[in-house]
Amino acid sequence: MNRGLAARFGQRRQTDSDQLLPLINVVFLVLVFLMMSAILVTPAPFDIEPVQGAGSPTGQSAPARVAVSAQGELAWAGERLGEDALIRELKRHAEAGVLLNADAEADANTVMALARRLEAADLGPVRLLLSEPRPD
Amino acid sequence: MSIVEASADSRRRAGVSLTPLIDVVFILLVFFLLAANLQRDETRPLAPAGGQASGETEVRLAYRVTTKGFAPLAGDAGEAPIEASTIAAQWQALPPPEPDSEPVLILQAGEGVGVQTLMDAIARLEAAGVKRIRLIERRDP
Repeated sequence: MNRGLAARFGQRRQTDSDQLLPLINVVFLVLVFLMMSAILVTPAPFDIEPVQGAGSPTGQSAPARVAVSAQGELAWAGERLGEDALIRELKRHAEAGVLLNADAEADANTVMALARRLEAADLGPVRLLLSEPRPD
Repeated sequence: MSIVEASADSRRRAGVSLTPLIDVVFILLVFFLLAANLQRDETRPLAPAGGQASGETEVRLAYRVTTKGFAPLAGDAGEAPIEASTIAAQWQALPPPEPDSEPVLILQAGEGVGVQTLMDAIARLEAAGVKRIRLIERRDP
């Protein structure tokens, strides 16, 4: 009996799987960390050159990210939408505010008009996404 | 080793193989590493004037951002552009506001002004000391 217990717990030769367990532990921890802390962003269907500048960091809320191209096209969740369709979709999903990811060359007045329309539709607060200035 | 012990041992070792599990977890890990956006977003409010606390805001100065600089909102387009430091000096020279009012400087984006130009203009004004900036949209006739 004693010999059997020892074989089971103490002196058992480690198999290949047992040696991999610490690695799997760490990989699982990294995976959980990434899943908890990351924001998954669907890329816009057009190229966006982000506006550079300094702002304040957004809090923990996850606002809806609306992309605005240089030509003024709108996209949300990777889909091109018109302004009315965008407001309809955002209302249906009831997100916490809107983050506009506008192209640097997009017309400022158009973006401001869009922000005002979104706030008037109770989808606010509307904020503009900025990226850190690139060292040239 | 008895037959019972030997069969228990082999049953434990012949359990579910861990290699497919590791494969899947690694694939998930690589997916999240590639798709995740870990940087904290810097943002700036885009609240047009009157969006909030419209009762107490007191418009003190109003300028249009042009591609060349600033221009008075009421003035002609042909005037020489104004520097941000000039506007800041004007702002500082104004008398102190009423106790329950919020003095603001209003900015409007001129024709052909991109978002980057507008944000640069706001950054220049803020660096010069003007902190309360509200944006209004231009209504073309």
